[in-house]
Amino acid sequence: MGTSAAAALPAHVVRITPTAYGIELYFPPLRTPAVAGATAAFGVLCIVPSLIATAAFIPADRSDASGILSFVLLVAFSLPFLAFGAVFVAMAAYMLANSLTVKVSASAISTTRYVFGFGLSHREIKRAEIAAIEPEISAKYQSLFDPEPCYRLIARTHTSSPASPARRVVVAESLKGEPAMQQVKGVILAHAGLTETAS
Amino acid sequence: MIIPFPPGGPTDLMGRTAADRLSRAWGVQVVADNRPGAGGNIGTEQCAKSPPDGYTICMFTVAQSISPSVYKKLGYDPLKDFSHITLMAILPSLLTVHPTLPVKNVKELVALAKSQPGKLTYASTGNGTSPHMLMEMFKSMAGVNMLHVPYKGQAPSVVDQISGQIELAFNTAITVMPHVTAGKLKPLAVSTVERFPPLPELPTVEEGGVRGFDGSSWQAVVMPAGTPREIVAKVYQELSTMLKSAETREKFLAQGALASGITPEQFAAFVKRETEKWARVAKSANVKLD
Repeated sequence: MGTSAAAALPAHVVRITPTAYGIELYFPPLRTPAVAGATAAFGVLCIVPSLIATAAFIPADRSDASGILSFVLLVAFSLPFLAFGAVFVAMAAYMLANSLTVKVSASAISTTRYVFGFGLSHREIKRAEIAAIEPEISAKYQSLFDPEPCYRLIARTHTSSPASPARRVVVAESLKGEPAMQQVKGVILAHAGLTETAS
Repeated sequence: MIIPFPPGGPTDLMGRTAADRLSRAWGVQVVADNRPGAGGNIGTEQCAKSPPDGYTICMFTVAQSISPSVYKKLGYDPLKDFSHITLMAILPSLLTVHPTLPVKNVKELVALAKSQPGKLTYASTGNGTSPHMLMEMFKSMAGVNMLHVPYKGQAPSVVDQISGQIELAFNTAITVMPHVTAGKLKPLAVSTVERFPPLPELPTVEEGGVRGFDGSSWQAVVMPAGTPREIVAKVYQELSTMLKSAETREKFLAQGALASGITPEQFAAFVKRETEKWARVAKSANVKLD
């Protein structure tokens, strides 16, 4: 079941491999190059002018008022902009380098996020805890040049009380278009032994 | 292809499936050769002593990881005497009880067994077999005492369980599913650490409160130790492709088996873990065979 569904999904977005107890979905690195590229470009656009401004503002060996003013402008505007740009470049690097491995079985769904081969986070949600597998549009991934939304799937637990809100675990992401999202959702539901009506 | 069990059994069926696949892939006849006896140990020993020239492939099961712990004399070492190819399938077992037994889950079963030490009876297909060892592991981990009634084979043990002469047992899913569906046996849990996909509502024994419980029958393929790595890789590649296909997975599932296909390295580590696990169980339960 899993392998036939995987045939229609691009391998650079998700690879579905059967395991003894269910399936493993692998969302590889470099699956959103356009988005990461745009993010990095924005970061660079922030960094370059602030670098130029920093070079201009660096005070000469003066202790007069102009030197102090330069220092204040540097700290108040240039450096924050530089940091802001660096954050976006780092985000782009993260987007390119991270991978997500999701294991689905009739017992549980477990996810592990890797960055440069290192396990960054591991989460698990037991099958009995799952209230629904819900799609979300990852708004940050949408582009001005491409109107097709990019989806992710969230496994949500039951809410036991207002004081303990539902837990949410990302079980699929970077799915372009509703058909791809529905296909992956169907595969996850089937192998977790869940029904569509339950979600 | 040495199959150390009689024709018609699950190991034979799986072995013939593998032999057929390899024959078609390589264009040479891979002949399935049944060599039963001594719980599979006769054929396995012959496999271990065969020349590592790539012409001998063997079926290997959980029985071969139990044997070192229960037999005084064994003609092979499951870790050193083989090149491990892959785990073909896992056959989960269901913990079933007679419907009249007043328990709904593992927790209640443990409580009942503790309230009546040595009174509840469980069936197995023989001393040192997988159902026997699974129940001994359960007894040890749950801290209960139940009476073992060994049978010669699965059919008579299931018949007596259905009739109520035996209260509970571990049996492979394929064996008991018809009886579970008919309401003649009540399933409490599945023996593996993961739930059985065709029965997603049935909890595992571990989920039932026996932490760390994980056991099942399994079928695998090995070759004599020293078989060239290229041949091992070639055999693994072919079997792995077969095991990952939807057609094979569905076929195995119809037999109550979950297709695997782990790498040779992963399988060697698996055999080591299994051998050590069953050694602990055998020691704890003092299971010995001549």
